[in-house]
Amino acid sequence: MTPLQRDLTEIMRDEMIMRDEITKLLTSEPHTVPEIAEALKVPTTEALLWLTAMRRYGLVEEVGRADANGYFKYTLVKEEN
Amino acid sequence: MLNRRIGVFICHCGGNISDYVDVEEVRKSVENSPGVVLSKKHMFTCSDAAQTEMMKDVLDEKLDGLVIASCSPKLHLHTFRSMSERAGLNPYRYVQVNIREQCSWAHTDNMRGATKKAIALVEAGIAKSCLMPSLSTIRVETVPKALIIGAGIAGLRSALSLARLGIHAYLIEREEQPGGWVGNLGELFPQGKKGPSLIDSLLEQVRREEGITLFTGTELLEKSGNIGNFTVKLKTGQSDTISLNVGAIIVTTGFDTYAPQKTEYGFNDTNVITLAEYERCLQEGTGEIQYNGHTVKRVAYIYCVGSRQKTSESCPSPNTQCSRYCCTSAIHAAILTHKRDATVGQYHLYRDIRTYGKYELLYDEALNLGSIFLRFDAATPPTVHTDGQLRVNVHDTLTRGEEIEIDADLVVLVTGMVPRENKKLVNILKLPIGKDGFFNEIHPKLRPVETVIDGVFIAGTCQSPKTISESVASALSAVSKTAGLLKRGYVELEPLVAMVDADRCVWCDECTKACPYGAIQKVEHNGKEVAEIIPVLCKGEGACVPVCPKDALDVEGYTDHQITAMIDAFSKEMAK
Amino acid sequence: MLPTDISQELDYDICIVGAGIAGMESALNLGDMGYRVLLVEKEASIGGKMILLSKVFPTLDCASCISTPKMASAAHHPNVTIMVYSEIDEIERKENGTFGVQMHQKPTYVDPNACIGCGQCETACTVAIPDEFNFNLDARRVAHIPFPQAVPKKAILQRNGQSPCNHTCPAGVKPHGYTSLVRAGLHDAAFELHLETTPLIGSLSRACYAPCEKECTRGEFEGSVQIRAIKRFIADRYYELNSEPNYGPVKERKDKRIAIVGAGPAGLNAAFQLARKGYDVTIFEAEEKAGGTMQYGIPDVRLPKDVLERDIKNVTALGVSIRTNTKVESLEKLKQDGFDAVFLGLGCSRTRSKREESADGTTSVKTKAPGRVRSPNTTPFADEIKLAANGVIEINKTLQTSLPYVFAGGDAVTGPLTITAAIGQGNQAAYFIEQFLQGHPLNAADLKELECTDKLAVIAREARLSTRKPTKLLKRENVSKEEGRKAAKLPLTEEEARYSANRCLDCGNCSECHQCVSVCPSNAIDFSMQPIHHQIKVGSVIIATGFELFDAHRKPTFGFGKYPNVVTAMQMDRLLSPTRPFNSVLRPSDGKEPDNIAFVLCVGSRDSQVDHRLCSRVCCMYTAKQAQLIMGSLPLADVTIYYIDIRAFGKGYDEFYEQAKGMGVDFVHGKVADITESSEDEGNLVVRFENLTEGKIEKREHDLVVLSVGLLPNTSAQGMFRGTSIEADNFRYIKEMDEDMEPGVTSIDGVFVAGAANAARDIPDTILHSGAAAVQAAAYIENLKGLVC
Repeated sequence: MTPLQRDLTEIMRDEMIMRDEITKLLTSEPHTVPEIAEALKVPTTEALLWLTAMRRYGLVEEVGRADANGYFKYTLVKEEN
Repeated sequence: MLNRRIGVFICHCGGNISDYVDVEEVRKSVENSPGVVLSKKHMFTCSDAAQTEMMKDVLDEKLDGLVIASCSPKLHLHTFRSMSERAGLNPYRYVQVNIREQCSWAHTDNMRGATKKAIALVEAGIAKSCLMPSLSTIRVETVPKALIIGAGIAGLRSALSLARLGIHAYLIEREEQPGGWVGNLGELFPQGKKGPSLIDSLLEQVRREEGITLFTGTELLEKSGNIGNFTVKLKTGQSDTISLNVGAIIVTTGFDTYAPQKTEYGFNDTNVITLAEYERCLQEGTGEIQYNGHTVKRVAYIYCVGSRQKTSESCPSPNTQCSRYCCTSAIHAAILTHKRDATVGQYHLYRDIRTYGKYELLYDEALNLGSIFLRFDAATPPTVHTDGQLRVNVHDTLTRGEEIEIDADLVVLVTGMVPRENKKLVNILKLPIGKDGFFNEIHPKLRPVETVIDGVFIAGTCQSPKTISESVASALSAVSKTAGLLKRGYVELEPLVAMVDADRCVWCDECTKACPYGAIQKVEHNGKEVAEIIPVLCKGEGACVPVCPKDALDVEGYTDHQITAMIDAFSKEMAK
Repeated sequence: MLPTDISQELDYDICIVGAGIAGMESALNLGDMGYRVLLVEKEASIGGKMILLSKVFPTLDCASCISTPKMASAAHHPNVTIMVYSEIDEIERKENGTFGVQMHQKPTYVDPNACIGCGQCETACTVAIPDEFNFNLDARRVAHIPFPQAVPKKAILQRNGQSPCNHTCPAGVKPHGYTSLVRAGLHDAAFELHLETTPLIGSLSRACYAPCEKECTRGEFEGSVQIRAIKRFIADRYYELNSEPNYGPVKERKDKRIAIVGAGPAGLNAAFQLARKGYDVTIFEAEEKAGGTMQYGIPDVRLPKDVLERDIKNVTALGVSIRTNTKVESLEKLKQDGFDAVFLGLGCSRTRSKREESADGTTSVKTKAPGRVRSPNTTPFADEIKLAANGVIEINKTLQTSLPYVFAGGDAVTGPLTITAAIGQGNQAAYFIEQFLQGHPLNAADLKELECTDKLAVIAREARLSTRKPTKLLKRENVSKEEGRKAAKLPLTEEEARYSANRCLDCGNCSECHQCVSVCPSNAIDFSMQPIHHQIKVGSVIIATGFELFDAHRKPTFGFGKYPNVVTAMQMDRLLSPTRPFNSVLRPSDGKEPDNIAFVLCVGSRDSQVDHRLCSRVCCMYTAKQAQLIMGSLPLADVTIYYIDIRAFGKGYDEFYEQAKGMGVDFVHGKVADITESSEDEGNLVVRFENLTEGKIEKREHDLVVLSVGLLPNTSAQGMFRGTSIEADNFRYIKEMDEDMEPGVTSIDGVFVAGAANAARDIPDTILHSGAAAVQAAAYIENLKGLVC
């Protein structure tokens, strides 16, 4: 039985802190949402929310198509010179 | 051409373009093209800030042409045209180039290719701009009068609203008696008003209203002229004709009810009747319901008769539409039945109960009053047996397809609305007809009362099945569009219409055959017969242009010269 | 339009409340007829709910593509004026049949004429909140453009009052601002933000009494945010990296000179602010060193003097000269020496009582301890400016003394005051001195800020807040009391500072961190915006306020809010739309593309349990639409729809339904009883339903469930009318008095209703209804003018 999810407002506030950790992870290689969640020891719902915000503001992007299990890999957007 | 002063503005569209096209390179490439004196880029050309800047450039640089390379003209054509006007530039000297939907969004994976294509598109736009003349819209005075065809509930109600807005309404009705279907209906849902009294009160108001002229026993014979100023010829009585001038026409010719085939659900039996017949029966008398000389104690309703049909051998051209009003109407009839005689057993054989919105409460009421509902699948419809005791057999999906047999005194076929045949009218007005046979609107979502024929509107059930209140709303919506057209006193039509080079024309008549709008007429010019465009009828469609063997036709804004120049510019760029 | 008396009196012929599809359609119709229309919309963009949809049934047109031309037409129609982000306060029907509308435009804090809609403010904003236009599927920022196709496409700052910490700081510092910046890792920016208000950052981080912490809403939970400790982190870190300020005197100079008397907190601050504006500032300090109370009133152990020295460098780097050991005794002399204005930051002379020596040194703002000798150092000026009985300087609301060119603040004005409050007065005085020097009238109301956030509302919102103890409490865990107390006093590490900053609840939404200001290319951010009130005379009113969506939380058996993979249909429409929040249709629990999706129809409709028996009319169709779109974008997915009746009754609708069936959508006839989590596959859901065709109870597993929620009335318009209320029908919609013959006519003569405000409707029916309402309103106006009998 999964524990009750934290309130959405609270999860979204954590984005500013979690960005750096996700960026560090993705610097090594692209990750799926479950991979990020496992590495950071956070629920997948929360990892998805932070990742989505980072994508919305141009920090990460998805790579290609979803894998056989339906998950996308995400990577850091390259800085434009 | 080289004396032109064209300004080119290229839009980043906030990344939608600049993420996939090198906007600076485009800007640089066209800077020195012939005719161009200014080439700039903007983050969002449609923004107020950018528009202000562009207007300033028009004035400061004395630009006489504008090329804006951004998104589809569907979005901002009018925006930029009115901006040009505000800057004192003829709006037709602005050319829109679509480098978003037609370039950046289509080539998100190839920046070099997309950039080259964008440059080519802009060069083509510049080439066109060099050849665009100043044009003015064609202004047509309108007549503050309208013709309404059909004096049913929709027609009567539109006439009243038009008159209240100061537009004179000529209301014509084919039959001798106005009022349409509603005039014959009994108690209506959901407010319980009586049809005839509704019609009577409307007719009374119509007759009192000075701004309405009602013609009964009258038909439309002919229509000519253009939007805002049609001439319509009416036939009243046996042989009299009247000619009238109107600015717009509203068609409210209503529907027909589905006539079941003799073999459908035992319709040849006298005790198998339509819902309309049953409702009439309910209006007569009080107490126990009598039909055909016997008391009615058990009624079986079969829904979706003549609606939601599928193609089959017996039904080669099916009515695929749902007729919308019938579920509610049948359930309402059941409630009325119960009010008259609470001992009547009622059985509703349905596919889906479509008592939408507030009508859902009628469904609740019918259930509470004891109606029994049985559901059948379209693949296995009920069968009616007219040999001996009238009975209906149905596989009820609510009880796992169990076959149930119902003895009935009356079987009521809940028949739907079908389009009303009116070939003559359709020909005269060139009314577009949809797949379902009802009159076709321009866009079923956003423009449900307008047709592609300028100045002709459709309302009520001739457009699609509706309830009374929905027909009235539809009628008033058509009035709204009519008033919008006529209240100003004039309309402005696009000047991008066809043109004939009379010297080249040899009057072969091919163009008139190609034009769906009747916008070409034969005239005399310097002693010979030639074709002439009637600008107010022309839609700039261009079907006439390719059929002319003498190349005598062209469309303003899309002339052969302009298109050729665009192709040349484009190919030259792509060949680099 | 022939002008008559009434018409000439009116500002607009018709006021339409609500700019969704109904409002826009009525507006366009009336505008085309030549009437002048005012269209009022409470959101920052017009378009209503329609613009948020993916595609529409049955044509599968892209919703944006067909809406944006309508929106653009409405925005640019010569007869239509639109006011967005505006609300109606009250409508009154006059005796002559016209209406008086009172409304206000809410401040967006962005100048719409300057804003170019680039969105940079949104990217730079440091406060993340749920995006209501994506129905909380993802987060946006406080500074934002509502959605990409917004009309007008302008940014807004959605403030919720001023955060309590910002509101209460007497110095005008924005603690929420720098906290938000530290949370985002922007420590330099945090220092620079603080510097905008005061140069005395290091000192405040040691000596401020932190009223912000007392007001901090988090204090109602496990403990307030450690704002002062965060400030200390910011100052210490910056000073470690920058032993000197990295700026010099401002290049653009103003040719006025200002004398500051007293280098205490008030004087130093006033000097700083004025020097930043380019004025020539000289501070005269009677004592040997600058700093006032900070230097002489607070012991070194509390406020190390090297910190104070570094703070003061922030001021002197601007070219401010501090002349210590110089006592000023004549204001007239200052004038003669060429000073155009004077600020008196004199302070009180100190008699160090026993109590003060042993205490921390902060003075109390409330008490004037009886018997303590503290007199303001104002005696030399008794002849030149007005003093009160106890020696304090008399000033007006703009800190001006009886001598126009002399302003005053700090202890010498108020009596013993805190450093923080004195700083505030220094800032205010600097503002008014500049106004005075530029010849502008002095207006105390200029400095008025937004009212405080409603803390109770924030507390209620955060009812389920997780526990995160303040660092100082964490440091006391698992160690001895003595060690704990020592550890708690240590300054924060960077990790601790960010953790602490992350405990902030963003009470007022906007933190006032000014990141938006720093990135905006057109200088469009304007925190001084106030609501603009309007009194408007109109001929008639159309209510087009639309509908509310049923809140799926009200059906707890379906698990919405409990299971992330149970979403509403509106959320699904967002997932399908081209401006979708995720990169594809992904399920919220883990970002997987679903392949087995279920729709549950009639959620909140035809349901006496939630007191809503009506059918919402659109759900069957929008569900069939979404099913078709999913089959298009996820070709391998299975789609199941659990239904009671399929209500596809409009033109082309039944054909659309047949098309969905043809695409392989599984229509299951049966009501869903409940939805629970799968025990095998986390994230998957088990739907338990009665399969009517088979006649038994079944369970099926899906990886995403969509609840097709119904439409409910929006009752906001009902309280709008003064002295009367508009009649509602039995279902709380606005009632049509004769729905058969007179669509749109309400119980108030001259007020009409269009679209879903009157009953659940789909888009085509709304268009028809709005056209009808427009005609009714037009007829009413014509009647007013007496043109048609």
